[in-house]
Amino acid sequence: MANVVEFKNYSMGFRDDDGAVSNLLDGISFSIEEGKALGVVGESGCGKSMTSLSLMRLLPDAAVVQGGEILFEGKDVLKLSDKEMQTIRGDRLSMIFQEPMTALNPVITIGSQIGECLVLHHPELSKEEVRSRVIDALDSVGISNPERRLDQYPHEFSGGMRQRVMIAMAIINHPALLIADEPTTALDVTIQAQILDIMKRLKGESGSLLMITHNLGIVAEVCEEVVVMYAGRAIERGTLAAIFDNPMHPYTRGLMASIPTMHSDKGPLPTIPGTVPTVYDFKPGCRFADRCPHCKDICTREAPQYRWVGDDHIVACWLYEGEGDGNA
Amino acid sequence: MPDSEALLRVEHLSKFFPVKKHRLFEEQSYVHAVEDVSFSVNAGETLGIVGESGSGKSTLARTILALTPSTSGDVYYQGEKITDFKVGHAEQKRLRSQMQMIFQDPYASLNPKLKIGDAISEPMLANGQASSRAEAEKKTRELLEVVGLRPEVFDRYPHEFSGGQRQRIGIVRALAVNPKLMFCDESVSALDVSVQAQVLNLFNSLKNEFNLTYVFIGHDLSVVRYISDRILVMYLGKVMEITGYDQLFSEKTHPYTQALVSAIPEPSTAPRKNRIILEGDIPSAVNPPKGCRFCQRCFKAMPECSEVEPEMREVEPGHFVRCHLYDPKEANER
Repeated sequence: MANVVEFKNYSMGFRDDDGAVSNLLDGISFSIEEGKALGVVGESGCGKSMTSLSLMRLLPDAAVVQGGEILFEGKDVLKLSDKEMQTIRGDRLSMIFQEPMTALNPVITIGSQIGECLVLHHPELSKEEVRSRVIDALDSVGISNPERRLDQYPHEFSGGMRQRVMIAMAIINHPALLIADEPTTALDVTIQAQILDIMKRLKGESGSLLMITHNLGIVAEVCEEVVVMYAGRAIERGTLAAIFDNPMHPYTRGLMASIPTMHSDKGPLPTIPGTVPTVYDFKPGCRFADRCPHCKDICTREAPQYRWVGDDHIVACWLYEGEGDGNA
Repeated sequence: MPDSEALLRVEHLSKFFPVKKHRLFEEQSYVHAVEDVSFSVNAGETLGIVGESGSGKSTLARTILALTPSTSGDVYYQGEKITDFKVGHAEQKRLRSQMQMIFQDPYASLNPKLKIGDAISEPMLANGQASSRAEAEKKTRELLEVVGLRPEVFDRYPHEFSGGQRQRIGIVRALAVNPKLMFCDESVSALDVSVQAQVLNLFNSLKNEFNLTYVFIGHDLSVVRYISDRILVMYLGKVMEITGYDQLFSEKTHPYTQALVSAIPEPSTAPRKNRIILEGDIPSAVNPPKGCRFCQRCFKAMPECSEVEPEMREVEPGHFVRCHLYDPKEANER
């Protein structure tokens, strides 16, 4: 199947006030097939949001692209002009953000906010057509009575309902790829279950999904493939079953073990010592080395290469040196 | 329920907030934040309180600690009535040091201009746990080590620390005054997964070391279940269920608890049982539904649920549920 998106050895960093550039994302490679959902998981500061913003070309001013390619439907988005990017963004490629409270304009009805996306990319549509397409979109995200709610303002909606409006806005042009950056973090669990249910349904109907989250449970719920990120590197990637049933990287293993689940024992939780490093304290070698229980001499000197450790499972760790067959 | 050894006992506690009137002759309406809540906490146990946002769990803690005055009901600590801390000045001071609270946001709960050491020694000096600055400093350094921080951080400022470290500092500050009962209000929600596990383990080891009793408030049922011995489920200001952590999967739980359990996405590839997805949002606490608070969203609602409020009933030893499903079959008179 064709890939909708492909990150090829993509790196980026930040320029500080003195002009010095520190690297954050280092050699990120992964792809998403048509109709599939990929989850990017990691803790705060691991660069998962920067990955999605890079694809949307919405990086902050201080960000510097340091190499690699991001192919979207065969075109390198890093080489597109701003104008070309504008025709893709919101049409073929759209995004849902974390905070449904701040992402909507409080003084414009939600009908016109959703309709705006449609009109910008399809100016030929008549007013009636726009209205009926907006009603369809609201209906498909489970907002009851859409004809009436269309003319309401954001403050008349609850948090869960606003996130539904955001999803409706993102899918109105039937994008090839929908990026969801922590779409349910601000919501209650029962509302989160509703939103995940909608996203699972939409995934089948329209294009692919890139889910950015810190919650491994959400990934297990929605995605088929997983990328685990740590300190700007994609340290492990593979199918859901490969990553969850047979995690290889010590960080992935530690992370999985440290989450209390509904079936956990009462004993002490296994933990990963230390904290996530920030951009300014990255050291040469593996970035997980100083928290890793299996750290070897080479780990602190050289960054590990990607190794295939299964048909659909890649890991970057010196523990598996010698297994598999070289670069991926 | 009432037993002599309960450290904290709450009886029919309510807290209503008046809603601002928009017209002169409008009837005064209230937000029913906490309504008729009763429970007890035994010494040495951890009671978990879960609920969605707006269920009144934080207001409940604040009302017990007299940070906001109660509307009605009573609070007993070690058998003595301490509602709204209407006790003598000396007694009030004792209560303030014996009942401590750890807050959610480790960034907002430390004064950025105060050195860590001073922030921790201040309550010790104010409450008489240390008689001099030198003694307070010595004790602070010892406590910092207990929670896994280097004693040298005494002279540093909050901005130099990560979220997990700040939360540890918040814990030290609460421990500084020799508390017996700790209220942890969403104390691990703002932390990353790997740090959250460290702090949860710390809570458990401190509990043994200092003979603490916890009231652990959270929205994440899997975290609350992990740390708690008993769990209290709140919805729209009312207690829906009080249960042992091992009875959460019992067949006799409240439908809302079942929905909460089912709504948690589990990080595993095991096939999922049929999920319960609740319709709609949590209703407004200004005009809570007549009858059962949960009736509008309940997937097992019966006609009487929207008419009559169910009573709290013991369905198994130590397991209390507020639901008509568990009414005795032959309800003779009402």
